Amino acid sequence: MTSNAIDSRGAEQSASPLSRPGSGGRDEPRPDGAGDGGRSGGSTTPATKPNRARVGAVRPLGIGVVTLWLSVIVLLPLAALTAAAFSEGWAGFWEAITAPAAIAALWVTVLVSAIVAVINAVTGTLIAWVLVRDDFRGKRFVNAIIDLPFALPTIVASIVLLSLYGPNSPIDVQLNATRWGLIVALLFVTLPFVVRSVQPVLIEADREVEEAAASLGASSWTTFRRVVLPTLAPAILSGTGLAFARAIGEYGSVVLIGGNIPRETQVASQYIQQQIEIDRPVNAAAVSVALLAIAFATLLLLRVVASRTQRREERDA
Amino acid sequence: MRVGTGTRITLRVLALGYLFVLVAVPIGVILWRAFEPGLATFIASISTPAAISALNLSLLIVAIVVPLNVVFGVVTALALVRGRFRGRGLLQAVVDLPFAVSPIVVGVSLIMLWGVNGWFGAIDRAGFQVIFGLPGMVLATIFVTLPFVVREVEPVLHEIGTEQEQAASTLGADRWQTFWRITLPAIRWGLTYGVVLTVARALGEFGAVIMVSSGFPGVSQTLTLLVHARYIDDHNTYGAYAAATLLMGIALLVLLLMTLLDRKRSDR
Amino acid sequence: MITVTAARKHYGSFLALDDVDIDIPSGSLTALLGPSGSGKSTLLRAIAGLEGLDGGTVTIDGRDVTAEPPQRRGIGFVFQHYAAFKHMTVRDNVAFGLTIRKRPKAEIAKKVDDLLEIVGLDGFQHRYPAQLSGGQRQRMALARALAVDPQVLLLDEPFGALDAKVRTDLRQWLRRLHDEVHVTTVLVTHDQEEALDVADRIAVLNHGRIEQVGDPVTLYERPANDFVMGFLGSVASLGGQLVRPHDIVLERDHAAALALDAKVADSPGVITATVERVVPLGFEVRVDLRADSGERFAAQITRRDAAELGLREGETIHARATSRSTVVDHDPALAI
Ligand SMILES: Nc1ncnc2c1ncn2[C@@H]1O[C@H](COP(=O)(O)OP(=O)(O)OP(=O)(O)O)[C@@H](O)[C@H]1O
Ligand SMILES: [Mg+2]
Repeated sequence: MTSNAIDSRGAEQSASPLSRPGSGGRDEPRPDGAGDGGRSGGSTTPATKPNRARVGAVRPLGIGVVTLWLSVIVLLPLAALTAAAFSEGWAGFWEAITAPAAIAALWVTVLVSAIVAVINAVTGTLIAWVLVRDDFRGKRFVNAIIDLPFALPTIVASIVLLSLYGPNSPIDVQLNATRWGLIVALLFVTLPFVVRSVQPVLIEADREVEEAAASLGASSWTTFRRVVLPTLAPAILSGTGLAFARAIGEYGSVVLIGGNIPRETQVASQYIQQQIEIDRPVNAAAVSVALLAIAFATLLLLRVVASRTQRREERDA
Repeated sequence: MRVGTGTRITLRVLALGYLFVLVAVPIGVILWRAFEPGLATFIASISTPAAISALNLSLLIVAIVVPLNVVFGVVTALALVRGRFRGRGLLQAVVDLPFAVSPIVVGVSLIMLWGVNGWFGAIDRAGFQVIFGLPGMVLATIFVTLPFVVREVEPVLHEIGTEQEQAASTLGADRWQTFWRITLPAIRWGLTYGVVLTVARALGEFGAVIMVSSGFPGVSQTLTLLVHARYIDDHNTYGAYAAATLLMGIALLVLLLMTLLDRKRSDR
Repeated sequence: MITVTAARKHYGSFLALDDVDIDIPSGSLTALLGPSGSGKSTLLRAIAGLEGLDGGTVTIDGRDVTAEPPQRRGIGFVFQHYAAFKHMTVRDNVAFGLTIRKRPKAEIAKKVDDLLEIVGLDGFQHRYPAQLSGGQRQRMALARALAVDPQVLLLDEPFGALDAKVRTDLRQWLRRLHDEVHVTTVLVTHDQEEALDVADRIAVLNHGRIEQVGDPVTLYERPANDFVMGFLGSVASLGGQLVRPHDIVLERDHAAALALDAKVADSPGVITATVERVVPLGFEVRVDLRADSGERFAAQITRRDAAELGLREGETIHARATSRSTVVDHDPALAI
């Protein structure tokens, strides 16, 4: 069973601080003796320089290399982007993101992503439940299929969906250039998030609690609503949030099926791409920054919620 | 939760039906479309000069990106796990950052940094083309794949601790020998998993690459760009289906590898 | 011979080694004994070079190795949790040091086989550490450390993770091994019984300082202070002084007790106490007593003496220390 896949791992990880807020708990930092100025007077210091390095410790050189690498690859581009967005001042930025077409694109993006996230919350939980609690032939295969949307290049996802729901659809369902097309494409690429986040929790869940509820006379629906759902809620929420964050930035899977109709199906990433093409870099950069801000806000919110639930759990424990 | 057989079957049908409509049917249809005109047509379509050069370019990018990610990813993971320095938390966050950034935004950011009018525009003006050249595509691919190796190796490093390395050093191994003989073998499955993820994403990346590529067939077209161009520019729907099917085959291979590796890692 | 001079080590503001001086004679088996957190591991790791010092020197056989990394100190180190190379077979684990030194294949093979025989792992060559028991893993780790012919063998609580039976077996075995190979050995332990059992010298550490170094008999019979006395063997506090429970004699006749006690120098005197409980412990009997001053202590006497005295709970009895007993003034400042 692959419980992980290309982007899910990614996105899971991006929110991984979620599961361990203030993640210092993983390793007790034992301050390396070196460099703490603990050498107090009075001790006989030998003429030779003592070997202070601990085996396995990282030398400053390594940290320097890492910092440089991450800066060149990740930080500098994003810094340049932000600078470009504000190159005409705050007013220029504001103007760029409040241009009617920009607002429309951002609105379509957020709206469609929110719908996709909500559908995912339901179907993802359903699929996870079936994969964990039900038993049928071919279950392992179905389980492996879940990761396919992550392994599949997004443009391929686009083509795959077009071949079914496109202009010469064999079932005569044409979704291209409609918001439904966007929704189906995004549902496809975000399929694994909720499933993979709920599955492990469901496996770990204490079935005795459910049985206790049933023995007290609760119907299955009541048991689900009052006992199962609350334990799954944090996982569903985190999976939904990650799906949302992924959906708002998505490009490859919607580029063909979406149709890029302004105010209708043009999403933010397509708008940005278009602005670059017609040589309006400031507009592109500004909307990019807005998109980034939405993604960060989503992930931050998730982290806050997760750390709050964790604290509650710790208190209850 | 005790569910009646009826409910259970209903839920099962709903879940499988959803997966069937969303995943299985479209994939079935594209396979059928790709192979319906016969295997020969399919092969001809994916072995045109443009397709071959696209495959080569995709593989070239992978060949450049993977070693870089392996080296820097392992160093980064070591620094994050073993390092005790101020700003470590910040580095952690930066490593996760690419996951939160839209591929298109990655492309725009790279243009703002490396493009002619960007911060490092002087490099471009000096005649070394980054954007709309191979370096740009490589940078875009590294950006989106940066976290994979780090995030796969980090937990393994945590788990093994430093005792084995200390033991090696007391037995006479120097830093390099310790790394090659102890650390690297210990992290090998995590590293391999990270590399598989990197390869898959590098082959499949579209949004970030299309922004920084000139997209000339036979020159700067990767496999994903080829799929796009065939569908949009050439109206060669069949060609797009065929190329997409090729990429899908690679993805399935990756999925299989991941399944096997996952088992290997948990055996450890 | 290992010489550590004025060794000092801080962790942040915490002083883990406080001007430690110790000589470890060649060929000896020295135990570093002390409570948890007393700095035993730190001292051992400083000798190995796994931990740098803030001040002081370490010399091994006359060579100052203070600035040398572990790989150039000529040591063998055995870790509490084995530090087995998980991805290598037993054979490759043991051969590691020799492979690093690029010894000829035939020599490595012979040496490894010899060592595996010595540590009783014949026939386990091709297993992986995960397929060995804890005791077997530790023996493999020992063979691995011995393979490079170290000048000194350093062991950090090597038997700490093993169960009691295996523990005692292995330490007897270590003792015999040491009698055969005579490599200078330093063993860290917090178990006084283990130290008394295997070591020919014991250094007692407390709060990053060495309290006393000596052979087991000296330490037991002439402890330098009450910390050492308390740490090696049990103690009873008698009239403000520490004595071993088995050095306490109980008398029914107060005058006789006084007369006999007068012959003992530094005696804590005769204490009159009430018997609270009589606990049979096999060959001996433990008598829990409460002095008139309210102080509680225990005496340990033979079964026969107990029978002769015919002790009953609630009776009054007179306690004194025997003539050859170890008596140390109780210094609350040094309390454990
Ligand atoms: N890397 C480190 N960072 C901070 N403090 C440390 C570190 N290593 C050890 N210490 C502290 O130094 C003191 C001595 O530690 P050491 O490991 O030498 O104790 P020990 O005598 O071996 O104890 P134990 O029997 O529990 O192993 C302890 O108080 C410990 O908390
Ligand atoms: Mg210790």
